[in-house]
Amino acid sequence: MSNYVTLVSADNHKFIILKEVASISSMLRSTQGFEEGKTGKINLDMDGDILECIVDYLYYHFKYKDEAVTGNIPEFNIPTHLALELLVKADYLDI
Amino acid sequence: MPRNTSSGVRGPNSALTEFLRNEGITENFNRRRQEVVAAETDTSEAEVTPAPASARTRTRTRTRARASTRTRSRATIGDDDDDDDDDEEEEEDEEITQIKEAAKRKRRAAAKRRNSPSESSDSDFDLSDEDALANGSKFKKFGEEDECVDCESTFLITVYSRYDKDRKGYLCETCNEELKKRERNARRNQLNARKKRKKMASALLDKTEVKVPSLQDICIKRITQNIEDVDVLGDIGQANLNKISKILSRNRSLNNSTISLFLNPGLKSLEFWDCSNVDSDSLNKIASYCPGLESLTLFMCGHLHNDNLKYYSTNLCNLKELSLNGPFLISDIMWQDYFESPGTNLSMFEIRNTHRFGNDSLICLLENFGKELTSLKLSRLDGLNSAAIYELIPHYLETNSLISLELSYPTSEDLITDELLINILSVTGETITNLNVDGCINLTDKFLLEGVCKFCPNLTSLSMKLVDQVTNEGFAKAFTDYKEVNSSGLTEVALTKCTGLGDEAIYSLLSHSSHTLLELNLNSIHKITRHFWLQIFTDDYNASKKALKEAVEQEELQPQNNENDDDEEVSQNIQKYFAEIKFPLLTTLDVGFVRSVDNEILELVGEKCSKLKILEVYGNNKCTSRAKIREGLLVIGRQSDCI
Repeated sequence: MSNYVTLVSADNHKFIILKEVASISSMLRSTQGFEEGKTGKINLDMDGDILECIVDYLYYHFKYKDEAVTGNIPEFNIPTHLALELLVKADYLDI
Repeated sequence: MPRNTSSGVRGPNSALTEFLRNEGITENFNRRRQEVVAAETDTSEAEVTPAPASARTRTRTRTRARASTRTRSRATIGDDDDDDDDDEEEEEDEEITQIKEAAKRKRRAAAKRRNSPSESSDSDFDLSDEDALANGSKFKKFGEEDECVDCESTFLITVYSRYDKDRKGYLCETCNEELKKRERNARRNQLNARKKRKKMASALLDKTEVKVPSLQDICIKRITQNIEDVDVLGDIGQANLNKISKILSRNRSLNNSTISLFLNPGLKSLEFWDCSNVDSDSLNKIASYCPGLESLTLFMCGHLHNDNLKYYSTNLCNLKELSLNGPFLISDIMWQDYFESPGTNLSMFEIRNTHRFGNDSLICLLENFGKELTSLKLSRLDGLNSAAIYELIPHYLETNSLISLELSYPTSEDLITDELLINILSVTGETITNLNVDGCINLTDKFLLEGVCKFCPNLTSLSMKLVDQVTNEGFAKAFTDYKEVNSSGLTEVALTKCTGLGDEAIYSLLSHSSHTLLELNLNSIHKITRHFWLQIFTDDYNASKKALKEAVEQEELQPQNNENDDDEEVSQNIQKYFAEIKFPLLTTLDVGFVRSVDNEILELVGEKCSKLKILEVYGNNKCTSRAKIREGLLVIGRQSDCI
């Protein structure tokens, strides 16, 4: 079993990320029981730039989740023009 | 002439003075040097002595520094050439210097008189210097060579050299730099620690924990920051829309342009919690953009005008639920027109904080919708000032129709009486689930015993803040009886400042509802004892509890036998027995200002209430940072949590 999954955007950008990181999103976690679990590939209905932002966030969350209590984590910056679309997708991914 | 520049009082500082102080050149520094001079020339203080050139220069510089403090226009570092200028200033300063001189002389004399090395700590801080002087350590002048007390290298003393008080010597330039760097780091660490504490404290007050923010929250934050540039929010989900609207309300940035982002024709319910920046025209837009609205909540709607309400009555034909807070521009007559207009058909009505909703308005509301109303909330209405009008409420209500009733904070306390509530509950008590009588301070035990306990089998939420005439015994009896009527139990109870209540009352409430309680507010019920807490959180099979139970039972069996004084004393010592109470669902508990709650109780509460998330302990000074608190429980209001 591979430790990585591939997230594929609608315009066919591929992001290979750690399973552990992907499972921060409960939606991505739940796909693992299905077809996607076998192929290790998750097709997502979003553009590459959005997905890039999401992958960035997932790693940001993964990196700082233990340091949050100390309160000393940098801010996560998102491009303003993507904020609305990102909100919809973040809602979908439950992150 | 020697100028001593010690001053106890500090006035406004010039930039120069501030700079010199930051560099470590203080009054002290100057005086030390003066004393060296004094020691060298060995003269009395009164005598005028020619100071060495370097000292003189220093003096001038200081004088100028002070002069610039005064005039603020001549803040240049004096160089020794322009003596004329200097002399002028010196003349100006003459008087002040003399006064200071005299004070200094006096103090020094006093210090000499005492003349003991172990000087008490309240004496002037520069005594340590004088001690050092007495011990024979020698002070260097500027430009002389000295050995650094830290690295022991030789260096030239300048005005910037720092004097180390503990080691009684100067530091060289490099050591000084290093020390400065260390100090800067320490300051930064301190600042960071403070920031962190502040963050934790503010999160605690928001009843959350510090954690990685969710991407949705980050997006919403970014959107609300740039809300002025947003044209359409688009399909981001109703939950997110509501979230953004709430955040805008909280930031007080809901205004004419942002409100239209939330209006779309399909909406059935709309909530705006702060409309204070939304003008009358935009409030009309709500009705024109969302004609299908069934529920509308507008808080802080001071701009809501008579014309708006008229427009709503014609355009919002499906409106069934209306909640308004602060609509003080709408007149008594307009309310009546609104209730009588054919387009209006309300089943839930809530109004707060307006003095224009008067007696006639209420009658008109009841006449038109009394039969349909399922929820009626009237709070802080100063125009409603007739007890007779309140008494009409039960006559207009349909039997068993009302689900929520709130009559809180009436303008005068005699308006809402036991009889009124008993009458209302006798009509519609069967269906009532939420009852709120906050601030009706005229209510007594009777309202519970003959109203709530008899007629409200379905009640789940009871709020009676500030009802302080209810007694311990009355409340205890009421809830003992209540088991017969309402066997399911309450989920939310607020008894803030019902100061008449004590152990028995709370015990009786808990034995009735503890298995269903989600939220409990016992704020300021100060009569609850520590013994009570210990008992209800202790296992019934505990040996000491068993013993207590037996003792109490025995006491009850033979109450007459206690004839002599000794026995009576013993009987007083036996405390009341309370069975263990379990809280399987309790999530929020407020025991603020219940001083009997201490660290031990805090720990017990955490242990026994497995679902408890938020526990408020404001004002309980026995709750400290030492309390052991279960993971996942937020304890708010301890003194030790402050920044």
